[in-house]
Amino acid sequence: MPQQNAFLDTTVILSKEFGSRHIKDEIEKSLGNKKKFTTKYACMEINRTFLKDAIFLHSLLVEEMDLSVVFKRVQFHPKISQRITNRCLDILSQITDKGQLRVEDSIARLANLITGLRKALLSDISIILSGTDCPLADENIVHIPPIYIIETRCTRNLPECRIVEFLEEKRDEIRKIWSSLASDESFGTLYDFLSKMIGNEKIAKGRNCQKLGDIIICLDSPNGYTIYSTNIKDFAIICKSLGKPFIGIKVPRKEKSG
Amino acid sequence: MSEALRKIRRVVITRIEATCEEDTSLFKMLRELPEEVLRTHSVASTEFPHFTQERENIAECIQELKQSFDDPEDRQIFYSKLRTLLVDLRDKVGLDRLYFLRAINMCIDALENTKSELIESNQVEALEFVLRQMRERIEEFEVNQLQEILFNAGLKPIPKLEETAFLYE
Repeated sequence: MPQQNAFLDTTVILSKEFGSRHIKDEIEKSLGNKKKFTTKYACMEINRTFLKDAIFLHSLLVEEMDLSVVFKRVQFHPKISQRITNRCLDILSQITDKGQLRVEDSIARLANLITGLRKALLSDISIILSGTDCPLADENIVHIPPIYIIETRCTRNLPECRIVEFLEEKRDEIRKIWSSLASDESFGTLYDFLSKMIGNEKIAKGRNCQKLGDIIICLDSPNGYTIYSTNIKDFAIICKSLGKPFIGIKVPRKEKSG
Repeated sequence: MSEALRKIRRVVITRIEATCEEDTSLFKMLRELPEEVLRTHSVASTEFPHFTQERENIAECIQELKQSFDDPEDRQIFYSKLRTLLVDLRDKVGLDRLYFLRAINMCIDALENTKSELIESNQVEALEFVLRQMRERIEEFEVNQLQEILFNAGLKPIPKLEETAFLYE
């Protein structure tokens, strides 16, 4: 029997390394010895979210050299969303051993996380080119001591970006997704966006591209590959409408303590 | 590859071979090291001037760990001792030696991410190799290469983050 190919979305890649013991076991059990793949688009999503958070925190630590000040700055930052605040506070808490470590060690550990992240997350995963050719997926971390930088900003003008052509090529498949979302109100925002975008794909350029992340990942998955995600609600309906095999890995929902 | 480097590679491989007669995985890993890494790390570092005693203690503890490898209780005891020695060393190092501090934290995290009962002998060899190459004035690219060596041995030289992933859904 030929070995099955598993196509991992961003959530599974992150959970495989940074999930709870329970979810890591679930993923390991579910993937078994299948060959693992992902798309470069997922790598870009990791750069834009997890890696960027780590680099942001690192810059705050080297700037303040005081853990309590950094905790406060993150907690009361007026310009970042609650979602990003929660993510950053969680990473900061664990990196600093709940504030018990010296700031020096927190900086060193965060630097190790930044430099080692790709190896930690992607060493056993083959990466497939994305139909979008997103150039941000190829960006490397630059160390300009004492800080790290990575380019994650999309200016809409990147000449390498092929998102418009890609979405035009996949218009029929996107139309299928759009019609399957019509009956579920919880997908209202995405449904409305797709309504405007189909036939006018150029509006997907720039930050709007992020709204299509899950759809792009599913479209990038080669035929016959099974898509894996912990984001069952969104992926199940997209995969079903595309006729692509999907396995959702359940993450127990609970508030983190501490 | 120059003749001098070939000679160094031969010496390194012979030494590793001698110490890894039964477990050849480290030998294989080192044989596949890029030339640049070999050039940098072929000779064990002696630049540990401010922490001579700590260095000796760590080197001794690694030997104790290797010798006790087949006894799970002793293995745990020396594993824990090694971690403690590294934590003690870490507490004495400041940001003026940032890359040295990174290397120490890398080893501590690698030890914490793999429990003593699950560590394999080639991973202990890799840790020993990395600890032997550490210098107070180690360069950034060298630390990144040492991190790569630990990753390639199957260790995780980064901080453990639990239950963080779901915040990214």
